[in-house]
Amino acid sequence: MCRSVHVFILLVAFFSFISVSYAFNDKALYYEGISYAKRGSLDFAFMIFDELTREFPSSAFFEDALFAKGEYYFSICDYNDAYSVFKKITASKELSKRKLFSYVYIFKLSQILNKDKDRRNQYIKNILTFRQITLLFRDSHEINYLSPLQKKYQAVYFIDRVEVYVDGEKFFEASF
Amino acid sequence: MVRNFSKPLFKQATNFFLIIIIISSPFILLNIFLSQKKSGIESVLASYTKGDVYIGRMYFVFPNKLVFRDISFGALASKKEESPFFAKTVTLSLSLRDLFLRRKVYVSNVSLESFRLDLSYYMILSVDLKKIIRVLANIIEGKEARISMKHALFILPPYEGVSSAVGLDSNVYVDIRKNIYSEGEITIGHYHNEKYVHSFEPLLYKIKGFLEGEKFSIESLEVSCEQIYAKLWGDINKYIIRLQGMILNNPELASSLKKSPFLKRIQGYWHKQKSSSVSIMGSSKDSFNIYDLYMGLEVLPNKITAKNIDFSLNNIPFHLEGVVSLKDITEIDIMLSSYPRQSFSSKSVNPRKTLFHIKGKHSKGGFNGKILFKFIKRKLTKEVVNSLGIEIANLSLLPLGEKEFNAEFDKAKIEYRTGDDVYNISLSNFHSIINLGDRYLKSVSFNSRIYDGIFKGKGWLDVSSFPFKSFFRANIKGAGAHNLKGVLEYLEKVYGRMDSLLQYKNYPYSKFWGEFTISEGYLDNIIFFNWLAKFFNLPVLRKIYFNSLYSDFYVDEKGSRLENITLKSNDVNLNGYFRISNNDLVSSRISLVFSEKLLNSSAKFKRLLRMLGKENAQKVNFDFQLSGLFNSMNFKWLESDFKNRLKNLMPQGMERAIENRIEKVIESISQREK
Repeated sequence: MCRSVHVFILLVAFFSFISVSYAFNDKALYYEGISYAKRGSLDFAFMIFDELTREFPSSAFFEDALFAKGEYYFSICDYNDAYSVFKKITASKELSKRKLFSYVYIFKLSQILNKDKDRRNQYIKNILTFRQITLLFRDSHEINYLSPLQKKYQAVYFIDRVEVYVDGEKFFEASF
Repeated sequence: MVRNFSKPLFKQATNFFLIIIIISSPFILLNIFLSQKKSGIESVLASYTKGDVYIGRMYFVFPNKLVFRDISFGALASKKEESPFFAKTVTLSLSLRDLFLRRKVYVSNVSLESFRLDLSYYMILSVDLKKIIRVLANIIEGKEARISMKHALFILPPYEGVSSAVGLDSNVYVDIRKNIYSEGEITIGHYHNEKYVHSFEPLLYKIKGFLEGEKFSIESLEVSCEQIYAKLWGDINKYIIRLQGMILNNPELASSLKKSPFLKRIQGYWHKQKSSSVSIMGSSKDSFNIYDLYMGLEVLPNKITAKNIDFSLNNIPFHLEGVVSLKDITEIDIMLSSYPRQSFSSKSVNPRKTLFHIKGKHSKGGFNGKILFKFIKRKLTKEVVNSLGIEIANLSLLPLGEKEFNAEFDKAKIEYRTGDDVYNISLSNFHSIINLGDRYLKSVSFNSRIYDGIFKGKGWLDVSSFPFKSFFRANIKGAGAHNLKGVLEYLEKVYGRMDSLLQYKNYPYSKFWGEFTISEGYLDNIIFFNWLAKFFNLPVLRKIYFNSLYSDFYVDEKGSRLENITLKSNDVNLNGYFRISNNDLVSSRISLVFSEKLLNSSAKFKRLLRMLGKENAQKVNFDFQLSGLFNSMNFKWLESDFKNRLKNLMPQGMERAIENRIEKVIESISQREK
């Protein structure tokens, strides 16, 4: 009896440790990746985010890490891998900022890879209608996102069009 | 000399006269006998026909003809003209060879003239096809026979005093080897007040075949009508009719059946001279042509089943199957489908097939049932299933004159689906006249009730080239605008009497356009006005009564648009446009002018105006721009003097607070999917 209680306590302690270390590791990895990105070591940052997505698919940082991988692939012109990564993000049901900018990447990649011709209009529609906006006194509504690779994304919604900037440079534009 | 000559001449004349009397006396006696036995013959025939038989006159004509005049079956003698069967003249020619050599009476030639059969009484289609062939085979066993029909008329059951009818002029010849040849012409028209007028060009036919036991083999069946020519072959075996062949739009081939025998002989001689030349059966490129036709029909008493009819129409494969049941009431269930770019084996399960399905019953002169037309249409980047369904009550089609028809129905519910969008409309008391008289331009004029209004117009179809070009123009008068929400989504929250001009054409691209005016109505519970009502504390805006609302509209491949929208009311005037792209995205600008009366109705708004220094304003303008999805539109309040003054008056940060609040309100009332 006493022995089985000890075994039970040990098991509880073991699994608690596992879950604590799991939570600790994915968060730690994420911030480690960010610190590399801040220092400009994008390759190391990519390796960290890649490990995070492989080892912690249920992590809260999973999609951010995926987005970082997509950005990295795009930056080194590995468009096919970038496409499949951003596709995964857009398949998510959550209306996150990551998803908005993933649609922008998917649209760009569909042009570069010459695929999804029949779905490009749908991507544009998803971007244009991502948010319902009300402009009473302003001319535009902005959605900002700082990616794990420390790129600044900004979608500017005007009443008749949307402009998307990456690090201050216009990356995409579409009108209603 | 004169006497010497006159005596023998007189004698010769007497002899000749006597000979004539001797020769003709049996025939005179026979005619007297026939006239005496007329009533006996009538009663014998009556026992076969289950009705009274009346024969006007009956006589024998030298050398072998037995002639019946004004013969009628199934009617009283006094009303013989109204009998189900009536023939002006029936001539039976006896075979003299059989009579003298075999001492048998055999009718070798039957001729029917001005013959009329009313199918209201005799359901000719209920006969047994197998029995007909068997009886025919027995009758013509080793004998020659000719049957000719002139001005034969088959009258269909009447509708509102007018009957459709089928006219037939035909010659049939059967030889001793059981070869059967027949040629003639068939017309379709209407029969009214004992007068028949055909509505189409005659359909000419020529058939050649032979009997083989209970099977009739068709070596060649040629049919032509105007420019259409059909060449078929096959057989009739027991209850099954099998035909193969082609139907071409070829004026030259079509006219080949029309040529006179003399011309044919000359042409035949000419062709013999040039026997080495090859005649190529071709067709014009812009017209309908059917190749690879295979038809399997089962004709049972009271039931015709199209088991599988396959053909290729302008290189598009088609399949037809269905049943027509002819018991007490006619029941129809026919399905026509086409399979572009698909193999025959995958047809039945192919979701991309174009389908036309008609199912219903025909009784009391009208058709009641459903008609469905389903097809795939490419909408921007994806293929969308489209369907047109019509539930129709009492549809009738009656020929009026040459190539003119009257089509009408009591009620029809029409539903058009394109993807997830559904449009529907109800019509009642529909009357139309279809005119097919012009060779290239066919037209239809119609008038109908549309809910509580009237729908009237005309359509044209230009068949001079393929694809056909169509144009349609119609007016709606006095219909409740709200009732038409099934056609124009915009009208869901609009009430009032609507007058409209509608126009449609499919060339060079599909375009539907027109204008409408709605009088003495109101706009109820429109989200945008609800927001304005809440924001400016103007509850009147929730339901805006107007004197008139006018707009032009356009629907084409690019989307739908309302242009020049003008709303005039005592409180609000509105101008602008509203466009929805084919990507379902809205683009709109609306300019609103609020009257002094309306402004004074809100103490809050009045106070606001006072603060802005516009307390004496007669009217205030609001310009808005809308975009995004129809059910969750973005909107922007455009720059104006009023807005600028309000902006300047507001303390720092208040703009953002108001906007946040409004955004929440808008999100709560929008129908956007989360």
